[in-house]
Amino acid sequence: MSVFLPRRPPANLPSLCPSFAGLISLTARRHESSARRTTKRLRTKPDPSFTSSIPESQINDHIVFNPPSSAPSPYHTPPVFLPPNDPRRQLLVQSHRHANPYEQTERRLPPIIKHHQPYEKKYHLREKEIEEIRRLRTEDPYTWSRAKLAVMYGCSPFFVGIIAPNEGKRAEEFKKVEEVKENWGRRRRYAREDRAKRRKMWGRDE
Amino acid sequence: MKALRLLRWSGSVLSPRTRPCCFIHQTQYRPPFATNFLRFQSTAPIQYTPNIALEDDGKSGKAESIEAFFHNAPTQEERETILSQIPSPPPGQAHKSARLSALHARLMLPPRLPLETLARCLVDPSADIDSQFNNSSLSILGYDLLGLYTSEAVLCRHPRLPTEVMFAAMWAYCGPKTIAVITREWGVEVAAAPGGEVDPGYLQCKRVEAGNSSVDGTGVQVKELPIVATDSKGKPTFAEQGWRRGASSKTIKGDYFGDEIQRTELDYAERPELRQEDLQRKLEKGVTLEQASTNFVRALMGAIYLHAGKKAAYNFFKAHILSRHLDFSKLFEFRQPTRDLSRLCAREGFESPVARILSETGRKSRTPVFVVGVFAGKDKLGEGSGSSLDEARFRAAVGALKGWYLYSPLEVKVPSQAERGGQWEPVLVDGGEVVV
Repeated sequence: MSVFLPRRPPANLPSLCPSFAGLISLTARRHESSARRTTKRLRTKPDPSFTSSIPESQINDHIVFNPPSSAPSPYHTPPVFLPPNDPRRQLLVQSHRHANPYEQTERRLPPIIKHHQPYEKKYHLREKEIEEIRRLRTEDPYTWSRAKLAVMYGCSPFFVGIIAPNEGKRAEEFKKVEEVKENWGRRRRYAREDRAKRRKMWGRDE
Repeated sequence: MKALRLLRWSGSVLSPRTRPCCFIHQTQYRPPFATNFLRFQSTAPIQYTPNIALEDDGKSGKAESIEAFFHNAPTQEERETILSQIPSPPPGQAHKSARLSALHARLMLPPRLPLETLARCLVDPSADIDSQFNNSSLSILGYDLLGLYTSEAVLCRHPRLPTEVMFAAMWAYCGPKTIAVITREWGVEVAAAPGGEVDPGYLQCKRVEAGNSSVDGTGVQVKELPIVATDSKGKPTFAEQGWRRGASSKTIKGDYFGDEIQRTELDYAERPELRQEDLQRKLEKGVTLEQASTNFVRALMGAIYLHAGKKAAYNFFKAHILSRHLDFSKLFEFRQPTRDLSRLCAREGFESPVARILSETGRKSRTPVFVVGVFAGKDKLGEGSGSSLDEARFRAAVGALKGWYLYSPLEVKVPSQAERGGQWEPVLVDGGEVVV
């Protein structure tokens, strides 16, 4: 005697939950009664760049320039990067199409990805404090980590790393990471390697 | 600028029979029987001495006796024997070769360039060690000319290129690989083995033994043999010493591709016997097809310059080297573009760059697309898209840096153009690449 086993779990079958299936079909189904409204909605106006402001009599006498959106070419030097004596600087300022749209006061700049406080370097540490940092870090690099010392002395962890490098701890940390990596399986290792390769491709613009 | 007296200078480089002055008032194609089997230097190994005793003292007085010897050779058979014993075809054979004339016509070489010189350009030093008959002197000149024309074309048109990219561009335009391809495109074929009896329209060189050929039929491949260190190789390269070379070292000590120069002219000046040693080794070991092709194209460039002048040489360069398309934007590779860009903006006095989202789609989906722009104040520097915000930001910074480096002025006058009779205009020189 054979038992029929469905491939999908029964909860996923739409026939078992009629109320939910009905909801979906209601929005997607088209009827004779809705045809007029649907067609009307689909009848969109053409893009303003395809219509011209010139009179009807000359309508066949102009060029439509509407290139598809694409990545900008690296050969187009941004206006800021042009040297001061380049004639293109003047031309771009005069051009209506290529003028900087954000120069208008009502046009707001797009949102920033990361808001971070501008970091001001203070240059306040003297020889005495630097000696102190070095001493602490050689004594016990695990208690006095870079981050901890950075907070304590009001500088960046990078600066602590420069003035008081600890090769011993660094090598040990590397070893620990290597040991963890040893235990990775094939899939995780490949995924990490591929990620690194993809990141390299960003830099080559591929 | 003063006009250079090319014809007078070229006398020391060209062999006496092929000096341009001999051909200016002369029709190029002469009757085939007016041959002149002349080898002026008796360093060429001629062992065939049935009746006349040839003395090897390298003086031009011997030339007449050799000429007389050739003319006195009574039968065709004897002439052929003589031909087979000299290392490269004699200049007089050039007019008999349809292949050579076809090459001359196909490349649209200036009529002032005689077939004899074209034939000489096809003789590699590995085939004929005698510098009066091989292309070594011409190829030195052509190498410098190619370097000059290419570097000014690249650097004046893209004045902000980083050094490494500049080297890559030079390599792409006139590196050995490109030149070998050009030689194939021109339809120049290689002789199986060099010799006097070979058609002078073939590229004459002694090929290095193939890596997968067997040694004396033993089945052991050549590449499997241990490399025998030759004592005359000189100092080890930087790479062999395990050093990495920076851009400044490449600029100062390298050639125009940034590669290390094995032997400089200073080395040769200190120890003149080195030059002969190197030539001898080349003659024994042979050269690769790429090296032989490179020498040929360089020599042809030099020969055109000597015979037909600067303008013809530049036109030839423009037609065959500069006309090749090179996408400079593909030569870049950035590791930390965001850091480089912020250094650049600080150096040039722009506001520090900020990444802003221009548009996005499908943030919560499996395949989102973000378009990010890098802005300095209100000016957009670059734009990039990617499937994560990080990627898009990275690519936008790459785009901005490329926009900076690939700047090209509208009208450029290269320095050699001024030399050819134009007004010299200074080209843009600015702060150089970003150094972090």
